[in-house]
Amino acid sequence: MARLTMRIALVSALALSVAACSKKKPEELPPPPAATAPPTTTETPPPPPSTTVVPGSRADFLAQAGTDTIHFGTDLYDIDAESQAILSKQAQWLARYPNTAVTIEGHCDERGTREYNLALGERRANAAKNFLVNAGVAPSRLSVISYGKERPVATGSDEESWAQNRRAVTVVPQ
Amino acid sequence: MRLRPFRIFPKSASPSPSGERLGRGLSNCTCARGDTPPPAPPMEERGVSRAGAILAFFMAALGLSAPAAAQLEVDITGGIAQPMPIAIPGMPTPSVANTPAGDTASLGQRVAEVVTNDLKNSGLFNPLPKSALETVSHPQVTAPDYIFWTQSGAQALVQGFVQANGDGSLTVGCYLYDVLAKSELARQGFVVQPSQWRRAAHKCADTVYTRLTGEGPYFDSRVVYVSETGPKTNRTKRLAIMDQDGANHRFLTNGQTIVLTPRFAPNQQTITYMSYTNNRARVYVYDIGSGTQRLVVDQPNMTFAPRFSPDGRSIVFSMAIGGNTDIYRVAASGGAPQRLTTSPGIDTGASYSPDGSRIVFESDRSGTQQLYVMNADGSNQSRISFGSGRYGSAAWSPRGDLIAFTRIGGGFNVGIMGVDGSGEKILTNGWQDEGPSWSPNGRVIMFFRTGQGSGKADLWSVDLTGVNERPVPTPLDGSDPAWGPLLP
Amino acid sequence: MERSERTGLGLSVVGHIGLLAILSLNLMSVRKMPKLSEPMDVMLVDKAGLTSAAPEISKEAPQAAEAPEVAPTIEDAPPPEPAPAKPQPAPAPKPAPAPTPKPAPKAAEPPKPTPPAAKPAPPAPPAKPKPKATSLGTDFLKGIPVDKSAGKSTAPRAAAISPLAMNGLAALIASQVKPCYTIPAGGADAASIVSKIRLRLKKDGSIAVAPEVVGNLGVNPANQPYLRQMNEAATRALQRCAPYKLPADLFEAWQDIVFTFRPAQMS
Repeated sequence: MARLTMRIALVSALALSVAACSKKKPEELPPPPAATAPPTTTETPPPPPSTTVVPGSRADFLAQAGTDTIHFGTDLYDIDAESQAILSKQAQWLARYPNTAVTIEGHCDERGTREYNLALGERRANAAKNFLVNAGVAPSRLSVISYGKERPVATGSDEESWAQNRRAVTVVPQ
Repeated sequence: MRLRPFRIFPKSASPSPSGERLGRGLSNCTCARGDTPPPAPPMEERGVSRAGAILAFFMAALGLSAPAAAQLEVDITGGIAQPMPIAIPGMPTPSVANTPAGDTASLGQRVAEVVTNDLKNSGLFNPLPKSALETVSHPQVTAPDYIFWTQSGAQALVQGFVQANGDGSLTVGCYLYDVLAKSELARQGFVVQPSQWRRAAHKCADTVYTRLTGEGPYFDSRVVYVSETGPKTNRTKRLAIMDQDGANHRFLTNGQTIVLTPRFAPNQQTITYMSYTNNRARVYVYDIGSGTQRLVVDQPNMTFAPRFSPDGRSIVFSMAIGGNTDIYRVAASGGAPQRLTTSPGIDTGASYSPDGSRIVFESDRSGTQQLYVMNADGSNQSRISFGSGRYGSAAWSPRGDLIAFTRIGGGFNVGIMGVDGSGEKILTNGWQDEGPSWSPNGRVIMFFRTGQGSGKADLWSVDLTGVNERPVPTPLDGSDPAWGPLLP
Repeated sequence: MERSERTGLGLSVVGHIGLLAILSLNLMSVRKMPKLSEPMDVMLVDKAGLTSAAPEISKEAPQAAEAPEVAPTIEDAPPPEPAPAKPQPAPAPKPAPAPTPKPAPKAAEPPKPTPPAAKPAPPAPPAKPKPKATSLGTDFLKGIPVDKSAGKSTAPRAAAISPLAMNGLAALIASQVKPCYTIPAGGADAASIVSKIRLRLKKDGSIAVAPEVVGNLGVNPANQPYLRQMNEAATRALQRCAPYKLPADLFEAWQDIVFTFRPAQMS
């Protein structure tokens, strides 16, 4: 017991003696991190393939409307401002090609039970459809289907992936 | 409460199912505690024992021990819940014969293995390892070697035989013995075609299980589920069917279209489910014998989440029209659906009570997903879930006393509650456990568990008491299990 | 390092070493831990002993112990016959030859059939022959009443096994049965079924008559399907833990036992 205490004493003494509390300020500060330049957006759409885009096709739709997908908040199915802008553009394209029938798919993230998510997806798709109808698209051209949580686009189990999966997609035939 | 005087009765031959009837013994009167008082003795006994009875009554009331001529009373409080050690040696054959399923000697070994696995996987039995068993000869099947089995530590013994009959069928004999009491508890014989030998083994296991636990049988049953494979963004889903122990597995669809939530018809000839055939989400009925599927409801709207009624004559399902989902009922042969719910919220996931009179379902009409019960005609809808969290995927137990559900709050957990919502108990603890389905005896719940991140789903089962949570073996991943009824 | 820093550091090191030295010197003297006394067995007894187990104290003078036969006149000094143990009153206020009752209960042979007793049987004072010429002093009969005592009381043995002893016995049996009592993990309601099982044992502690169910409590429609299995679990417990190690002299107390099995309190 005493030997152990002496050992402890020795070790602490050694520790103390080498704990030089040097208070000298460093001569110079390390240089501040370089300011990062804002990322350049180089995501211009790739130039169309050599074959020209067929007007009225899905590729044309995507080119003109920008995107076929709108997103939703958790458990929600209301169309926010950003989605409204997207859907308006879609409506304009649909007006130009009145013979095209489209399917609106509703999707959910994985954090819901199987049946409920099927119903919620349908709600989202239906909300998008209603907006398009109000924007002048004939309802008979729009069919609605829900995939619940069966077809996610993002595979992670995190907020970012879930946000990407809560969506309604306007699918134009090829 | 008026204390009835204590009376002495002749020794009873067998215990009565209710109340208390005592044999000889003056000192164990518990009349004061509100137990059913013993019935009055015949008239001629009263005069003789009255004095003694009154004396004994007063002594008992004062809490005194009786004079030493009476029986000693010993209280044993608290039993240890433990799987019962049981011995299931290989089953001999009176004479080795070849069958399309193998020779009868090897069949005898395999039957014993199936019985062993069934009992072990129920969580209530602890079969002895093979090294602790002795080989049983055919004469010993009806005259067990109790000396050996007593020292083996087994409390029960299952013996049997497999015999080829002249007409190509097999007879499987099944005998259950109480090792400590050295008595036979049950015996059953089953005649099956060789290809159905596993069913005979499951029936033998059921005989043993029901006799030793008091529960109903469940081993001779099948499970239909969705077999999954492929990347998370593009899962291939196929209908599959298998015995409850994973054997005799068979795919029913080819996976070209997504299939979801299959459920057996009570006669097990057909399965109802939802399929995306032709890019439309609709309810179909699949005939197992012919392998063909038939559309149940021909409507432009999306229909899903179907279930058979207990009499097999109706299918209850959900239909989504214009963003609103409600529950409908239709004749299993098809026809015009009858609407059962009308709330503007999402009403889905309907499940019948075993007597067919009521339906439990989930609805978010209150703002969040909760469980509701209504009559089978849609009347008298009332909420039953009031715990913390949201509740869905309800399944009514075949015993009628409990409802299994998925509780959403943080993660998903499978739990049970009474049919009035009382006694809520959470049974599982995975990241996402959902979709409970009951075994035919209402004792075991099968569900599927999704892995965090991977999105891989697997089938699991858990005992009603929350113990014995174990994976169900499937060739690929699996989800949406539906446990069929007991095979006749 | 600056000078002031050096002195400060040195002082603090010295101070720390000194403190450690003081403490270690303190710890060097090892103190002996006080010895713990042997644990004492405590038996919790439910029932108070309302009937006294002590034999009655006789108010009369104790009956004189008589030698069964008077020793013959000594010529050849036959060895004195040891008197048979007779029922004796307990400590009367007389000192010698009042025998001290033995603590361990002995089953003495009763002169007439009586219920088994935990009564200590004091040895009768040895009957001494009366030699004519001995080395005994003349006062060797001092204390032994020569006159026949008028008292006729033979205090009865204890009328009952004391509840204290009964409870000790019950606890002993329970401790031997309980490790074997396993029940199937079932619906919670099955655990409210109470089983009363009667067991009759042989003198060596093995089972004389197979356990029989003599009653049940707590059975309702919900747990009725489990009644047989719960009774069997109780019966099996009794069979598994046989034979029992019980005091042979109390055999009449434990040859016939009624057990009350309550599965509900899970251990």
